Amino acid sequence: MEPNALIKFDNVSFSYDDEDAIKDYAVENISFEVKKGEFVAVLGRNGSGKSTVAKLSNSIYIPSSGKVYVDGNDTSVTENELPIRKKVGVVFQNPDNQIVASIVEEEVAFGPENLGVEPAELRRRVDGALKAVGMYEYRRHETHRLSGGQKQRIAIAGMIAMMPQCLVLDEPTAMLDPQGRRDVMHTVKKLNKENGMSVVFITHFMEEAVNADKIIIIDEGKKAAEGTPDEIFAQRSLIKKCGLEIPESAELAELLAARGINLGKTPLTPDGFADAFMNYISSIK
Amino acid sequence: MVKNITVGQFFPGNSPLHKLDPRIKITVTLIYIVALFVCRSFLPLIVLTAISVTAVALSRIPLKTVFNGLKMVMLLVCFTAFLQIFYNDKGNVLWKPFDRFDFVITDAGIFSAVFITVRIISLILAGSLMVNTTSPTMLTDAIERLLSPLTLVKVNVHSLAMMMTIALRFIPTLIEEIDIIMSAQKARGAQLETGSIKERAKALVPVFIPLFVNSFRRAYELAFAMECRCYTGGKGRTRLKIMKIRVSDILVLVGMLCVLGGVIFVSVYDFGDNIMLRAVM
Amino acid sequence: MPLLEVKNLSYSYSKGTPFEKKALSDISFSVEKGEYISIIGHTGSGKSTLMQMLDGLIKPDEGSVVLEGKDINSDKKITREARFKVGLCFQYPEYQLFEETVEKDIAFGPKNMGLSAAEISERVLKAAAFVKLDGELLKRSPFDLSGGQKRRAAIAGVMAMLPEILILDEPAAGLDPVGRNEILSMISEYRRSTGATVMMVTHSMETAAAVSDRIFVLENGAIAYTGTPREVFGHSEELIKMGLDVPVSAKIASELRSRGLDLPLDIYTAEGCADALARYAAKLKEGKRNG
Repeated sequence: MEPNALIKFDNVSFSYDDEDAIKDYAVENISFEVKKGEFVAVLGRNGSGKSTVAKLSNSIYIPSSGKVYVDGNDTSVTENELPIRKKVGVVFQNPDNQIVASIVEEEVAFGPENLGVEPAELRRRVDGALKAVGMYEYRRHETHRLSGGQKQRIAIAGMIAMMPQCLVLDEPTAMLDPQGRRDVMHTVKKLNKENGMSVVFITHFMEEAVNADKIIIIDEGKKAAEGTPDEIFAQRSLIKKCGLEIPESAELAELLAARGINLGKTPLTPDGFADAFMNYISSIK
Repeated sequence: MVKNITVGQFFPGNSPLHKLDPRIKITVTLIYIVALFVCRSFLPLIVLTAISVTAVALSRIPLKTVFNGLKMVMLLVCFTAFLQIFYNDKGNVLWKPFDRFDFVITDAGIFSAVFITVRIISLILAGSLMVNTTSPTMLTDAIERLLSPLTLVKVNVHSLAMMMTIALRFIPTLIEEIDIIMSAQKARGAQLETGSIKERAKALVPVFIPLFVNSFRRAYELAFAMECRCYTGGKGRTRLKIMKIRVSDILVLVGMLCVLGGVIFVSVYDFGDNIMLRAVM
Repeated sequence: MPLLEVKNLSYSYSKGTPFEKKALSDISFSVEKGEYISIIGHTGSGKSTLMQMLDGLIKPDEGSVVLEGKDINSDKKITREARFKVGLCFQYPEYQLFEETVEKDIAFGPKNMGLSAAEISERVLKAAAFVKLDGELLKRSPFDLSGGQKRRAAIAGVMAMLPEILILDEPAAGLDPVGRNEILSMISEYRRSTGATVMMVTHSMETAAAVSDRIFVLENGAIAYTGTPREVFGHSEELIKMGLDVPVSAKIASELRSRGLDLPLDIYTAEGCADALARYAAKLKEGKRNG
C-alpha cells in the first residue's frame, strides 16, 4: 500500500445476506485508493452500487470478502470502528434524514458530543465548522426551516466538527436545486483545496466530477473505469454504456469538430471551453 | 393547513425567560401548575395570573402567537365555563329562567366559571411559554438531567431523552410530509374532508400508509447517520450547552416556592367571608 | 377562449404568525390546449404554491384560476372536476404510493372519478403503457419496485385520470441521465397521444430549452420572464444574475461575449451554439483572407 493512501479498497465484495434489508446493489471485487488531500469522484447510474461504497468506507458495512483499510486500519476489526468513523465522515443524500437536533449548533455538536469532547473545545469546533461551511450566522436557527442546500452544509459541518481526514459524500446534491448544488459543491471544493481534506464525492452529475483529481466509474457493482477526468471523458462509448452522460461542454466541442473546428484537448467545463475557443481564434488570426 | 400550526414551537430569543436554566424552568412551571390547582380563591388567582402575564411580556413572544395558542383551547374553556354556570346551584340565585325546571343561575356559578376560565388560560400560558422559550434539545437535556436519579433504578434515561429529541426534531418534518401526501392524494380525487366518520377514516388509509412507510425509511437512514457520527449511547457523551444554575435561577425558584406557600396558606386559613380570599371552588 | 386562465393570483403562507411569507403576488397568464410549458425558478420562488393553486388545492387570497371558462374555486363541485382535469404530480411522487399492488395504486384516481370497473381497468392499462410498466409488474407491491419503477408507477397514477393539463413538479429529480430521459420521453408521449397540455417545473435548463413551447421564470412570487426558450434565454445574462442556471451553450456564449466576441444573444442549444461559433470562425478566416 502506498504510504499516503488514506482509504484503500482491496478487492472488496459486499452482498446483503439479510432478505429484509432495504435493497441496494452489492459491489464486486472493487479496488481503489484515496490519497491524502485527493478529490475522488465516484460516478455511476442509480443502483450501480456506488452508495454501498460510502457505507463500506467507514465500517458501517463490513466487506463480505476483501478488505477496506482506513489509514492502515482494517474496517472489519471491531475496535477500529470508532477511530475509523472519526477519520472518515459520511454525508448522505437526504438532508432531512441525517439531522438529529432541532437547532443548528446543537446539530453540529452531536458528533463531537458523542466523542466526549470537552465543552470549551466543543464550542470552538462547532463555531469553526459552521464558519467553514459558511453557516455561522445560522447557528441559532431551527434546522427544519433551512433550505436543502443549507441542511447539507450543516450535515457537512457536523462531520467537520469531528475533525475527520476524509469526507465521503453519497449523492449529497441529488435532492437539491441548482443553487443548493452550487453551494454544497463550492463548500466541498473549498474544504479540499484550503484544508487539504480528502474527498470522495459520489454522484451521477457529470459537471460535479470534471474538477476531480480522479474519477472512478462503477457499474453493476464493478469498477468500470478509473482515471483523470480527461482520460475518463475520452472514453465516450464506455460512459454511455454505463448510463452516464458526457459533459455538455465536451458535447459542444464534438459538434464543433463535426463542423471542422478542432479545439484540441476536449474541454470539460464552460470556462475550459471558452479558453479553448479563444485559443483557437487567436490561432487563426 | 396543517403546516400553519405554531403551538408548542420554539421561538429562538434572548429574553430573561430564554436564559433561565431549563431545569429550573421546568421545575418552576410544575410548581406554578400545582399552585394553580391548590388555589381556591380570587386573590391568589389574580397573583398567579399576573405572574404568567408578566412572563409572557418578558418572553417577547409575539402576542399574536400567544393568542393563536389560546384559540385552540377556547372551546374547552367555554364548555367548562358553560357547565359551571348552568350546573352550579349553590349560592344566591340570580336568575331562574324556567319556572317548571329546577334550573338556576347563581352568583357562585358565575364566580366559579370565571375562576375556571382564568385558571385554564393561565395553565396554557405557562405550559406553552415553557416550550416556546426552550429549545427542544435543551428541554430534553433538562428532563434527562432532572430524571437522572432514575438511572439508579435501572431506567435508561438517556435513551428516553434521545427518543424525545428525535421525536421533537421530526415533528415539523412529518407535519410537512402529511401535508404533501394529503395534497397529493387529494389531487388524485381523494375526499378527505367530506363524508361520514367511517368514510373519512377509510379515506385516510392512502395518507397513513405512505407516512408509515416513509417514517420507517427515515428511521433506517437516521440510524445510519447517527452511527456515522460515532453515536454509541449516552456513555461518555459531553454537551455543548453547559447548564449552570445562577443566582437568578435560584431566586426565581425560591420566589415560586414562596408563591406556592402563600397560595397554600390562603386556601387552608379561614378568612371568613372576604370575597377575595374565601374559597370559590 | 384559452384552456386555462390565471388572473391576478396572490397568496401568503402562515398568515398571522411571525413566519408569514408572501408566496405569490399578482400572477396572470393563460395557457392553450396542447402547450408544453416549463416553469423555472429558485426554491421558494412560488412554483409549488402556483401548481397547487392550479389544481384547486390552495385557494388564492386574491385572483382566480379559470379552467375552460369556469372559476375552479367558485364551488366545490367545480373544484373537484378541476382536480381530474388538471393532473398534479408532486415532487418524489413515489413517496405517496400506498396500495397493495401497482395496478390498484394506478386505479386510485380513476376510482375516485367514479368510473365503471371496465373503464378503470382500461385506464390502468393505458397509463401503465405510457410509463412502460408491463403486465407482471402491475401485480407486484409498489414497495418492491426499483426507484425508477416506483417513480413511473406514481406518474402513471396521475396519467390514469387522463388529465387535460398534466402538471409535474420536477418529475426527473434524483434520477440518473438515462432515467431522466426515459421520464421525459414518457411525458412527451402522453402529450402527443392525448393532446394534453403539459406544465413542468424543472431545474434542468437543457430540458426546458429542449422540450418547451414556452418558459415561465418565477422570481419572488412573480413572473420575471415568459416566452419561447429563444426569448427567455435571450435574457441569459439577467438569468445568471438572478442566480439561476442557463443551458451550458448559453453560459458559454455569455462567457465568450464577455471576452469580447460578437455573438448573437439567442444561443441556447448545443447545435445553435456550434453553428454560431462555426460562423464566427468562418467570418474571421474570411476577414483575414480579405484583409
